[in-house]
Amino acid sequence: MLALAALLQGCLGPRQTLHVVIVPTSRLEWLQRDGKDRIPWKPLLQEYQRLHPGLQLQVSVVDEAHLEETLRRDRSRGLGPDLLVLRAPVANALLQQGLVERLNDQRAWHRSQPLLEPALADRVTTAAGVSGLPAYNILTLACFNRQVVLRPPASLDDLMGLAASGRPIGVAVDPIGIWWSAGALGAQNAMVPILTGNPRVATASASPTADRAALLAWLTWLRQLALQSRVDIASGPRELVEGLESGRLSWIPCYSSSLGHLERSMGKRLGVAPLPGGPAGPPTPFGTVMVMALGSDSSPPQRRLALQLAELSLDPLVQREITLESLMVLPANRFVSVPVASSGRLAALEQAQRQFDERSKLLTASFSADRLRRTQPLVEDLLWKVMLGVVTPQQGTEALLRLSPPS
Amino acid sequence: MSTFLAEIQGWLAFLDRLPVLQQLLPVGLLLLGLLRLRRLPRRGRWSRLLDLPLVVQLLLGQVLIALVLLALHQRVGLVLLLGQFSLARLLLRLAERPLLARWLPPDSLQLLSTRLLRPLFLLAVMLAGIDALGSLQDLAGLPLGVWFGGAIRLGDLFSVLVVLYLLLVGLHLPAAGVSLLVQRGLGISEGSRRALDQILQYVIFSLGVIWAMGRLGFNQTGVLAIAGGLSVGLGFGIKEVFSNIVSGLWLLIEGSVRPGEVLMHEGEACEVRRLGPRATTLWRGGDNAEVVVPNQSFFTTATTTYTRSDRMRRCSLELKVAQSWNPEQVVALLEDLAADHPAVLTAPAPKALLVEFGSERYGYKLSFSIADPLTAGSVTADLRLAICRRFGDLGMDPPA
Repeated sequence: MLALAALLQGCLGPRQTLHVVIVPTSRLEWLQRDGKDRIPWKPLLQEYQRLHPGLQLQVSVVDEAHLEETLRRDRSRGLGPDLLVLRAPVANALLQQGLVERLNDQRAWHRSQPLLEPALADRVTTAAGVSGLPAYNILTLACFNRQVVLRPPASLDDLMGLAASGRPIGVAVDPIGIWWSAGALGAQNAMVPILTGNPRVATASASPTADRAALLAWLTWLRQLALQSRVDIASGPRELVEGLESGRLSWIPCYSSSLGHLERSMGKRLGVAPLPGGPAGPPTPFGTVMVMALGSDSSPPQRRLALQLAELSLDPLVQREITLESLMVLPANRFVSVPVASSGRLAALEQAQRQFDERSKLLTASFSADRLRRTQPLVEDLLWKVMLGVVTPQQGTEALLRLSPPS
Repeated sequence: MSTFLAEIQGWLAFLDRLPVLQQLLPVGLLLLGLLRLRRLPRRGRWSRLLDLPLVVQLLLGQVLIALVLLALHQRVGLVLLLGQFSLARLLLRLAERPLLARWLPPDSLQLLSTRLLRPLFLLAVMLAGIDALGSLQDLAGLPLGVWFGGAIRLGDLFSVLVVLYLLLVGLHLPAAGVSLLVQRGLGISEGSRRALDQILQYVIFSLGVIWAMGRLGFNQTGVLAIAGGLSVGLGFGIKEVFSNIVSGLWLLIEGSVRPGEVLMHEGEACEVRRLGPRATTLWRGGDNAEVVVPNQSFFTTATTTYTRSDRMRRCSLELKVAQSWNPEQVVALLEDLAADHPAVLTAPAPKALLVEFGSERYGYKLSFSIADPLTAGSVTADLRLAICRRFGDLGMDPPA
């Protein structure tokens, strides 16, 4: 076998290889399988290969659901990846389990940290260290069919009106599909501790009574929405996207990473806007930061190359290219300005980012994906039951409050 | 192809890693050492270990290496993976020798092992190896280009080839099972059962090919265009081959030549062993030879068969007996002799006839029926011997 390896090495020439694993956002893995070459960070890979022409980048995709098991198996063999591109909470969880290397021991982190907003750096900082280097942000937006929806709804009332006027709209009970409406109805302060497990921050305006009232208002609105005949409750983002593509739906909440796919299938019919606000203020779009985490099996030269690639991802030129070429992510480097005036889509993303930063304070803190993985199915099941009328909004409120961590 | 090679080259980068070398080197050295030791003469009490099969020695060595690495707090995943391969090979060996050898004849076991079990084992090892080193899913997604309007990916092509191969080599048993069930249910003859067996295999394989083209997304118009081009080529170049294939299919459907039937070929009774796509294999009992006859020759020439409606064969032998002997006694004697032979059927009964008047001898013809057409030669020879013996006992001149 070694002789064969040496022969192959000799035939193909001495080239270095960097093993990179992309971990698509849960439930959006079908988008990545759709076209690995169209991922937002293609400009980064191109630039890196321009700088290292002799280097081969071997990119593979691993679903978030199988990531831990795959990494454990590969680690036991010494075959783990050199670099992982994944969501910050997932990186945090992996660091706590020792499946990725902490970054704060590396000089690259100290060089890169000043380029990040402190809040962004906080999202990858855990008790075990820094889990990864943030590369770009993905956010929830509203996607619609321009031919059917001439003006996107700016408020929840507008959205109800849109459905009442016969335009089919789609929602789902997952983080992308409906959780944004919690903020518009004032329920975000109650929801975030439930989702993240972080203890509730007590403020004058937020109390258990206020939480209960806000949750009840939110669940009542969800029930009213589901009673509309033109509202489709989908099983997840894929069904929503396919519904919009096929023309079955005219308005859906969508993750910005699905915009490229939608644009290819819908062309100019695709409209993008911020999500509608409500009586309690703007929505709370779900957002995630994609980070680059170091694998734990690399040899010293492989580690050096992986760090160079991670560091290059924050290069202002690369960040600008990532943003402008994909038009579906926002840069992590705070010194890179986003040309919102020339692109409505980037403007919508920027607004969603602002809403996320201002309204989802607790979600912007560091948290582990483990908790979310446990609570998410429970919350989704509950929302589903409320929307379908299996339980009343009051019963749903009490059940949600029972999921809250102790203060 | 270049992407595939690049992918393989990427796996070599793992050899830069110390934990990988720590696992692979001992296993490699173990294998080399075992191969060397097995050539040495056996001496001492440990020589029994060298008599064990190589796969057992390898497995024991891999377990030992894994234990040592674990004791040193090193990684063992790769050693365990290689150990799983050795264990699987050992199980395959056990399945082949003691288990399947009990139920299957040696030639069937040989076919099953070499055509199905071992290729499947190698395939499983290869896929597990690729999955360990890279991503099987990503490798399967590698584009190979557009063929007949379908975008072909490595995984699709691979799965289609595997399914077609399995159909090709693995259809015999299920088809034989179904044809046996039909035989028991409908009471069809053995020849019809074998024909059904063959036709089932052809039909299922053809369906497999159609499925494969659909799975690969071949454009039907493109395939038809190629088929049209091929038909011109068939007309000129390989028309004999094509003619034989079509003849074989037609013979099967018609049932005129089917496996198990006995027919005359170049003056000798032969049994049809196999009706292949191009040629038919006949077994000639006289010299235990297998004769391969192109299917087309059955299709274009008259064929004498003894098993079309039943397997009975009417045989005859002619002899001349001195006219001094009473013809009625001779006729009775010949019929008695034939009736005494165990292979001669009682119905229709043996019949002797006076067929010729000569100046010194009269000509007689003895006709008799046998159940197995292939034994005609030996039964006739037995009867000739019995006639000579009886004539001698009665003091008659030997027949001419």
